Amino acid sequence: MIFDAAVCLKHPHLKQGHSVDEILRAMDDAGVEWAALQPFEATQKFNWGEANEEVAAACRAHPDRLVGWGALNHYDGPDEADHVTELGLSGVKLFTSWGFTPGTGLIERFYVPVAQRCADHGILFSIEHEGHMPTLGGAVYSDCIVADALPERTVVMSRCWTWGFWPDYLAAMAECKNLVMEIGVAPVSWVRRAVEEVGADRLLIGSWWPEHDPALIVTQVKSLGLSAEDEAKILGGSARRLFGL
Amino acid sequence: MATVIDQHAHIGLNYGHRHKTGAEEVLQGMDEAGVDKSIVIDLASLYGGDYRVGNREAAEICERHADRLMCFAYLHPPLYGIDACLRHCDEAVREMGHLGLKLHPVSDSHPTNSREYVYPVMEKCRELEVPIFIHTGHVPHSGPILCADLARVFPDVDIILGHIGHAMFADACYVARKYPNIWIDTSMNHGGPLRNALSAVGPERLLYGSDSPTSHPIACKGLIETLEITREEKDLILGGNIERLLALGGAAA
Repeated sequence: MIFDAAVCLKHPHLKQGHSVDEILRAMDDAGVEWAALQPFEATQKFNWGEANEEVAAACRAHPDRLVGWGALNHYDGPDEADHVTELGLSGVKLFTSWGFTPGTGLIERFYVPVAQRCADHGILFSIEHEGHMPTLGGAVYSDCIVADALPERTVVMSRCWTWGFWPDYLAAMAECKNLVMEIGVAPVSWVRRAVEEVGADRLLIGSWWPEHDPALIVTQVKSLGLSAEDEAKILGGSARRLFGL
Repeated sequence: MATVIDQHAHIGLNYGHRHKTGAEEVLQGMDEAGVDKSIVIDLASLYGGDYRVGNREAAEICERHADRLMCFAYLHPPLYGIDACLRHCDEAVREMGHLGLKLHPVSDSHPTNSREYVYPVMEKCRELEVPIFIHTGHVPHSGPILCADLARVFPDVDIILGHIGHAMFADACYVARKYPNIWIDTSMNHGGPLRNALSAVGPERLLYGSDSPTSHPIACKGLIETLEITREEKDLILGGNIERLLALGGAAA
């Protein structure tokens, strides 16, 4: 099974993906059986609740293909996580790009309560990574702080796309055993190292379609020369377990 | 009056300016900034020079100015191989009088937590009972999180994390807060990261450094003076902590 753990519904900057039918066709073209939708437009329109409802509606319409992430503005507190749970979504993803990274000293104040609320509801928690550019303090501190605060809960590191930070991603995963990582098109040597050092069951794919073509990610994973078992985990097994399918 | 010790200064070839910094220049900067002593590090190897020669030169300079200058030995493990590097560590500490060892992974193109090049050096630090000073804050191999591995595997070796991790200061604060054998060098960073570091580990594990001549010793010293902490806590950062770490002047680590 191929499971794309990050597909954008209504990408704020790209034309594709503004209808669920279009997303499903793209999934079919790429051979993706399951996808986790995420309400990316909320980072632009601040319509968190409405965007989460749209993702939930898409998932209800296609329960054999789609699951969903909810999103929220962590500065508003964790209550939207309750709504995400009521909608039947699988988890909360914090988008840190476009200015939503809280910076140092505030992870405990804003991220951990959200993660705790997710834990209370038994849903997933994820942090999108591109906001953690060096100018905002570092590569992995937010993931590690949350992971340490909730050692029994999985934290999904999403959009780990900065190639220069791959040593840091792996170091974070070595440091915090409850971190898992979503990979896109990534340096092949590092993906192989990740399999060796942290294990394929802590890796999953996420294309952030329409930003990446999931078929390319799948092709890359298949070209790594991994065991069939490890390949299957990365392409879908790890996500399937995580999302409880 | 408390002793002010700049634990991160350079002597010899000055990277970026191709200028060789002599003792007189170092001492002049110290006098201008009110710094009593400095730990100097030669950077010959950053330009492909022989770190063994540079460390010997630094040690000789410090011997001539023993009342004000001390030194750490810069290592470039891949350059002549790890075995040669480890032999030099013995020589640097036991014969030349270097008080610690320094690594610059990003320039020397090896991961901060390299099993091949850094773990053996950490073992040597353990054997020689000296700290390791690691430049941090540049990708792809100097992210502060990479020090977590070292701190965890070598809990009895003191690790000085350079520059508060530069722009990756939040990652630096995370590892320093988690591992008590990590100390933070305050050089070449700004007030915000410095305050973050203070908040993360308190004044007891911050070490005043200038990275001179890249930055004048007065710059970071002045920043530390702006911190809203007691005089005693400032004095710890400005010299008391490094005295304790290196057991200088009778202070126990």
